[in-house]
Amino acid sequence: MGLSSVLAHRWRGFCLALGVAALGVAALLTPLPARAQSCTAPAFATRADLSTTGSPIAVAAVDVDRDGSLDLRATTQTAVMSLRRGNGTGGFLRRGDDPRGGLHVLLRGRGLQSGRPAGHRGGERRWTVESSSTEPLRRPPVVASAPMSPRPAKGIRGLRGIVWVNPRVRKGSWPLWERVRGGWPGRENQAYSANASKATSASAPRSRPPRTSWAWAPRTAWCTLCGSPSPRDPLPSWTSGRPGKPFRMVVGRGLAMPERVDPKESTKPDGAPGSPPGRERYEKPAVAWEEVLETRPGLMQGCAKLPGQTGPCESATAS
Amino acid sequence: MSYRYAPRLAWQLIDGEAVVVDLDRSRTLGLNRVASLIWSFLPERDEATIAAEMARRFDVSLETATSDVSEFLRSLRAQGLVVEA
Repeated sequence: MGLSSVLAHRWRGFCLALGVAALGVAALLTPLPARAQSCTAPAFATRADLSTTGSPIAVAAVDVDRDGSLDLRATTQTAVMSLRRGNGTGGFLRRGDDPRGGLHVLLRGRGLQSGRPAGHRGGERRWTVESSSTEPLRRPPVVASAPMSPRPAKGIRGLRGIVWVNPRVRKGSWPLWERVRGGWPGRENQAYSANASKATSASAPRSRPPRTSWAWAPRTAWCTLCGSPSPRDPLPSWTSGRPGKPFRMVVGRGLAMPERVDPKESTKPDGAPGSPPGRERYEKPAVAWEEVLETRPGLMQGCAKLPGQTGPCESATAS
Repeated sequence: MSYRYAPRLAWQLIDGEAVVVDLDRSRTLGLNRVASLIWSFLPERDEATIAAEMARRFDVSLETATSDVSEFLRSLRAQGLVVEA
């Protein structure tokens, strides 16, 4: 290689470095608004309102009929459960009601391995797979129902996570959530629970928290991002609440959880715990753990808007 | 002696473990397995009956169970989680 070619190579490298530096300086000198305009705004599906006959208690985005598009499911305190089937392109079909109301919890995902949300009916201590004449099961559930207590849904095979929210926790407090078997509810299994005054969801404790915000609920429950056409990567948000009461909206993205089935429990079809022979091992009764109850009433005041108003509160994030 | 739950409590048995929300003191407590069973018996049984049940279910003598149950209930009472019925 001759001296001239070496000089030429170095000259080209110098010019390249100079060009990159010039671009960097130009980018720094560009006004911020101009740079912001170059970003692509996130696109969301059109918000779908789900009017419910009664006060909505819980809303879940789930592919109820397993046709590949997300549906909206809401429970109310009346004997009507509302459903809007997704059309797969971000929209929803006409609302249909199902006379199975009164569920206090909706379990989204592969609850009970049926592809159908499971619910907990008030007054009963069982998780029951929803069924109705209008939505026949595509395949039979592994178990139609399972006991909720003293061993709640953790013992159900195929159920990865349940969040139980004690409805007696006063309004304004964060809900009580409990640990679930194998971790926290993942993307495919999220339990949503609500009582008459709030709706809650699970979040992964060591992950980025789900974006939450508070807003006002008119006599509807709505879902903002439920129009995701792909059921494999749903990023649903859902809301619920009483008319005129603040409620919590969660855009859920949980952690995937490893499957964990207790061999002792897997031998029983209903997930009931097996009884060890003889007397159980004794431990001195004590408080195993204690945590400060995280009460954040300020969040309830985070969106002081009137019903029907739209604006930043619907998309505001809370820490 | 019989006890009952303090009025401003919310609790739930989860997988055999009692999770208690103490609204007065803004805290959440989890009881171990034996303590949770004792907790679940509280509104229905007195201290002696609970101890007998513990001795029947667990690998522990009645004397030890009686002592432990009594001590545990006293600690709950001191913390304001239970009150005398």
